[in-house]
Amino acid sequence: MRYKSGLLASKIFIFSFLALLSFIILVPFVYLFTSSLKTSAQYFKIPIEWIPSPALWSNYSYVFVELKFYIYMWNSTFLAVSSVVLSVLSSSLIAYGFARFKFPLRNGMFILVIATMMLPGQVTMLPLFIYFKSIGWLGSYKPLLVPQLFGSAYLIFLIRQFYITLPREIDEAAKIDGCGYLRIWWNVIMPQAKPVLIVSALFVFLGSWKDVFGPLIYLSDRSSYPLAVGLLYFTSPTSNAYTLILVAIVIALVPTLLFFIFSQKYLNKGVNIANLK
Amino acid sequence: MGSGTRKMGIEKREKIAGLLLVSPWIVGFLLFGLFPMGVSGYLTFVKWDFLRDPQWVGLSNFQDVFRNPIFYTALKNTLIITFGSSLIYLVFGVIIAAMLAKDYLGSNVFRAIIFLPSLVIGTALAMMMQPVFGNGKYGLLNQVLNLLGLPYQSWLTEPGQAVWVIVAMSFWFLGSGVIIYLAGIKGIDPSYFEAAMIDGANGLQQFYKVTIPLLTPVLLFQSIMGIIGGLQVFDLALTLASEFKTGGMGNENSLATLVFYLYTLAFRDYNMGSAAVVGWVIFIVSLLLSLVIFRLSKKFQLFGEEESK
Amino acid sequence: MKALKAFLSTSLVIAILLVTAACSSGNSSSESSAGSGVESGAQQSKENGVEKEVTLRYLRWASGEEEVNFRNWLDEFENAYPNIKVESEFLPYETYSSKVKTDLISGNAPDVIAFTSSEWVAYIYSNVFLDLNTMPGAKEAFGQLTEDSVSAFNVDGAQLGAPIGVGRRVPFINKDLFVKANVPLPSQTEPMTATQWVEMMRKVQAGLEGDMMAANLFPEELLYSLALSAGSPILSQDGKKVMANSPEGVKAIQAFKDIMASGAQVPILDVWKGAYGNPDSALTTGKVAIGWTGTWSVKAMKEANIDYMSIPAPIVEGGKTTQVGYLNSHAIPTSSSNREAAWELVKWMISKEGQLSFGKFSDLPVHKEALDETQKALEAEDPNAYTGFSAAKASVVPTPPFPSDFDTLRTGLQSKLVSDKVTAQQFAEQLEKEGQPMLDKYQANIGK
Repeated sequence: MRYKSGLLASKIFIFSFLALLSFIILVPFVYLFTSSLKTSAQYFKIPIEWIPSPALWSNYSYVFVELKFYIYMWNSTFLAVSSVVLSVLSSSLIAYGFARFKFPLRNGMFILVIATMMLPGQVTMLPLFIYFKSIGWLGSYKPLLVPQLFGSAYLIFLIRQFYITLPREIDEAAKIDGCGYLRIWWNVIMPQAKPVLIVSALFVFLGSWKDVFGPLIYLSDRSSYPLAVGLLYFTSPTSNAYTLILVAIVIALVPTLLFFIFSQKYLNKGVNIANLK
Repeated sequence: MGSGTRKMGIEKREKIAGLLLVSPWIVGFLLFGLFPMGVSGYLTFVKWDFLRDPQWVGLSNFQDVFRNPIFYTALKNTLIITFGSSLIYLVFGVIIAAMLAKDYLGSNVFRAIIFLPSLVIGTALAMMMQPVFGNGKYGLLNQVLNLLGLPYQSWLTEPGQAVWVIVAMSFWFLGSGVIIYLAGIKGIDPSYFEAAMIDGANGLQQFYKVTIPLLTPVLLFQSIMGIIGGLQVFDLALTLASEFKTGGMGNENSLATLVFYLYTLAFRDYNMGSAAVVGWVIFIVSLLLSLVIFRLSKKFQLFGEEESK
Repeated sequence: MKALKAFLSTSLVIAILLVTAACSSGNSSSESSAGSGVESGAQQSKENGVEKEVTLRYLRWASGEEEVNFRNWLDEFENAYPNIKVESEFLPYETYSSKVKTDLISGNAPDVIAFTSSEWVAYIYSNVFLDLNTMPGAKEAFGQLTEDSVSAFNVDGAQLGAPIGVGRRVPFINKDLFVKANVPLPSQTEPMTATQWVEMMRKVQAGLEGDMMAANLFPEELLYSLALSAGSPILSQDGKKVMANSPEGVKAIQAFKDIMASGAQVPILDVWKGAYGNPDSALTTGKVAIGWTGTWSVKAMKEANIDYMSIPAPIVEGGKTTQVGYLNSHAIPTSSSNREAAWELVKWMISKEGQLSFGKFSDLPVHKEALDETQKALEAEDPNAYTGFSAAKASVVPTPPFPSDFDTLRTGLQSKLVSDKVTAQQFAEQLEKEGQPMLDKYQANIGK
């Protein structure tokens, strides 16, 4: 009996804790959303007017259609999806190598993988910029996409850590069945690693979606900019400039939120470990 | 003789396969890793405003940086942020992930909400945080304090206080860590939990005895990422500092972090040499702290056979 | 092994396909933004026998309405010069600043770039800018501008930038609030001393209700103009030396403190992002009686139905009237492949015609005749807004360049001064002791 009421108490505690946390997190978002429906004058009113009247839903059609935001959205989507495919595929393959194979200098190299994440991007940015300029890649998506081919240190680290939690027996079992290394990877390891792969895809997607600096310095044609950069160019002939950028921010959130929800559904479908038998 | 050679053959095949699998990374590392790292190492010894030719100046950049009080402010701030936020991410991240692991009513919604802040594009952060921390006594946080009868605080402008705002904001950014822990927890074979329940363990005990030990590799990962991330805090500092005044690092550099200082040196003072020095400081500190964590993790090693280095 | 090879080659092919698709999609779509057509691609010049059409790229910082005004202004140029198209780009200041740098390194910079005087200074020794004196008609064109503005961008005889306008700020008051507080309106032509200012501010504050504040002044500019009026500016004109540490300087610093700590001024740390707007927008919020802004805020004030009036900045006891301003300019990078056309644009921008238009929506012109006409027209049209500027007409001093760590030092000292943690004398001494090395280092980096 005590156990059961303890269970209920702990459930209530958990729920209220999460509810409080969610509330704290949501406040700035509510502010963002309601402000996106205001005019600039309303936006600057203090104290804050939480429910704008009138609510300018027209702000959204203006930004999306007349300011041609759909172009930026398409660019962002293309970049993000390409990055996900390139990065997750190559990183999971490389992580497989680190996790399941013994070869000379393996541990040293893995430490190097981690080490590459320790040098801040701002330091390597300028040398890379000049390098890309010298091979004529400026003004295209190449500097943003090609490096993904070679794996991302973050993903390699993350996925490898997951791979090593998978028991060796499943590899052995497949080997006995006559599978080659790649077959083992594709048919045995990868399905087990779904959670981490989905999380990886999510992070690559987000990283690409939010990246401002990369596209800003490597792209020069305004029509090829992704959303993150498009936000910067934000101006308008009306006096609603301040709030229109908020509209753009909300629009930018939607695809990533959708991707997240989709990934969660997929994760929850359940990971069937029982197949190791 | 026969089985001996076969074993060697397998080992050799394994070596070659492993190297082949890892080869793309090696190439990438040489092209996009070693090369810029090497250049930035070179830059620490020159004076370069990235328009004219670099001039060799030996150790003078190092002297400039290590004698500059701003560097030490930035270092102090960064360490506070790093340890503070890593602790919060680690402790609360796992706990919250455990809370969210089971699928009950509303768990999906909670997951989405907690992850929401990680979706925001950096430049948009300032606009969202402005009403909370800014606006003097009309700021949301100050209004809450007012309701509780506490005095107003100038969150971002009081030197020494601004750093703690960043640490406190780790709660807001927990989401991305929680997701990783969630994935880890979902990857745990349910039979472990079943066995524990049969043994009479309640939720809390299951958490300690099953979840945490099986998550050790992930915990290790998150600690290192937390350290690296903390040491590289920039976006947040930049957006909060511009709330105070455009073009500075906060009142008396109270929002200066190492990367922020690097950025200021490179992009405002045209001083790539000193910026590169700061970059290497960050790199070496990251390396050292990660090694410490690796050592510590070996001591507390509970699972994960292939951890031994 | 075979499977491995097959897999690797397939992924390589996919990757190559993706990347080439990326390249072509990056260049094919074109977009037209609200207001003006943005053509994709770089400059084209086709010779169809007689005419050559050239497309110039122009970069400046701007936000909101400013951008619209600038685009319209550039349209006027295009109408006057049908063979030259201007593809313009406007960014928020920070982003503009980074973009300029990366563009200049990549050698792919726009043909005409706008600069503030401090941004411009960082590039002058890097052989980045074209010497405009080498372009046809330069002497005549520059001869029509005020000498000070031209010489500000001349380096050892080479004209590395063309001034475009002078932005200035003065205090603006809300007449209604003054009347309500029963305080006589200040003179629009005679500056008051700092002591008189403090008295005025306190009287206004006493007459205001609720949480309104008498003033939201621009601290740096206030300090700077007080120092100038005392004859001891904070920095030397070239930005190389701290000059505040002198008896006159300390006098000015003390005057600054008196005004900022009068109890009638928005707390110094909340001046820019607090509940009272900022010095530019303070009056428009309706909660402040004295702001500090330029002609660019007049329209917003009109829209908010504020009965405004500009007055001269305060001076120290026995000081002279001066004004601090911002000299903006344009430069042509040597890497431009459209020099002649770029020069046409710059030349038009500093011609009487271009300057008159410019003066209608932005800073005051540097073209002598245009400046005269513009000032007369503005004063006639709106004496409330413009008469306050005329008190210092003759002596506008452009703000010198300084590095960001110096700015932080100064801001910190200012707030310590106002909260009595340092005295005026200590302010001057610390600014010199800690600030001079910062200036030296900065100059060493960008200098010869």
